[in-house]
Amino acid sequence: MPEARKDMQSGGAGGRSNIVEALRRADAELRQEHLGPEAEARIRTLVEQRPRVMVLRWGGWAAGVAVAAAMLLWVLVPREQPDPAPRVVAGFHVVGGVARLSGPRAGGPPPECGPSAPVRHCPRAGVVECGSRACVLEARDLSTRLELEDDTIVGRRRGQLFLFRGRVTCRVARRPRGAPPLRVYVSEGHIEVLGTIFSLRQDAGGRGEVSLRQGAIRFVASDGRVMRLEPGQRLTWPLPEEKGPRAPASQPASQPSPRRLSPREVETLEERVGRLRNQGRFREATRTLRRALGRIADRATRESFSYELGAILTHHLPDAAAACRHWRRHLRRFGSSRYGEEIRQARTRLGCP
Amino acid sequence: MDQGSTADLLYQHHRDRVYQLCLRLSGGNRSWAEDATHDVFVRMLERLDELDDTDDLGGWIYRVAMNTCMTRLKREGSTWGRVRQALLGAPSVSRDTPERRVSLQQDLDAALRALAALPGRQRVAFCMRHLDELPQREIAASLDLSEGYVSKLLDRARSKLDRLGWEAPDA
Repeated sequence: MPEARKDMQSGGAGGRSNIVEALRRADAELRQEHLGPEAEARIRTLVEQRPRVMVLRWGGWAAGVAVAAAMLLWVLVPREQPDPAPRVVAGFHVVGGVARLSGPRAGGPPPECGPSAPVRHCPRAGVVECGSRACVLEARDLSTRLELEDDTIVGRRRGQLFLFRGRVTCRVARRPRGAPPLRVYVSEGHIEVLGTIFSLRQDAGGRGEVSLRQGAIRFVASDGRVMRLEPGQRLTWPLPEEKGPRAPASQPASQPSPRRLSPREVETLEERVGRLRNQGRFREATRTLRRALGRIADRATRESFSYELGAILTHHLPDAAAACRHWRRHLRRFGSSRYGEEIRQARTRLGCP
Repeated sequence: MDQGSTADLLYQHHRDRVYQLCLRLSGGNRSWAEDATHDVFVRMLERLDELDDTDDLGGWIYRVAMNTCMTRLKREGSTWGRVRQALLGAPSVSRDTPERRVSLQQDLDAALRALAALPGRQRVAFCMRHLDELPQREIAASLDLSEGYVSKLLDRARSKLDRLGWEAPDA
């Protein structure tokens, strides 16, 4: 390897190095790299969730049986939808039942997406509804499966999901470490998901509820209040004025002091950190997070940002000592209930004392 | 074989190769390469039904991977320079010993800095031609570009690398 380095480092000074040879050596090093465990799990989930469709090999009497079965089904199964269901509708893979574009096909929002039900980020397109029967959709890039009851309308725009009306059960594969949480918007705020199963109901009149089966979610109300739900808990909206959540025993949001970041600023911060991560600007992301951590009022949000900072230090920056110091501080401040297992793995990987 | 099993097998056989291709094109950025690998398998699953022969899909997956990376690089073109700076400041390619980390960093810095200076299409075409040794005709077909345009991309890449002080082969 020393000759290789010497050869490559000279790219510009004196003798000119051959870029192809240099890249081949770099390539040989890269071939020792493998997918990280989180990415591996994320992609494996994607592959395994693919519906197992048997390829029928037509031939002999088996073909006759299959044709007969198909004809029987054709006669017996009621066909309510005149149009065949497309396989992908507005970015959702339809894996069960029938789903179709909702609202004007030109992309205008449905009538529910207006002042009467102030969903804050109404998508301009990507709104889908089930017919008179339930349907199952997958947002595969988000590793999310949605089981919609009849007469339910959902939407998506980039990495965000929306429930406009109806009932839906969301199954979200665990988010990769450090990735921003998936957001599901409802009329009174949004739900941040880290990997979980939960059910949502949203009425056209602005009432709704979320109940959590497993995992952890946070409900971020439009007015900035943040409520964390534990498995088995339920939260209904509209929320009572300034009195915290109606159902779950989660902590009410702290009153922001003048020096603290507003919910909008926290949201902007999260977007900025996500952008920096995507651009590979990890040092800048850690600086941004460090500056902001002391200014976040809500403990759960602060814990989440602190975890993100640790994840970046662990996986993207070469200073293992700094990462270990951060995890020690994190555990002292927040304990290990929420991200305990992930932090344990990170510390093992780093060889922290 | 059912499609689910096919998808599983394809994933098991090709995940590392796809990831390493993405890693090379990203200049060693692990998180970028992981996301790109995810995209490649999303595409693979979407198109699996259309394939007649699923026994030997290595070439097909290679083309999907190159196209996916090219699309991502093109989309990020305006910010790539900043990403590259961040990459060079914080390479994320090693998980091993400090010695290997240092060695890798130096090697990758030198070689990948030059590669990362190329725009997305030039980078993909250059790697396909000179590292994977594909003929221009095949590169053109894989990337859905004309052969003349591929030739132009390779020429531009060579000129740029030349300006950066590297010896680069002719197209």
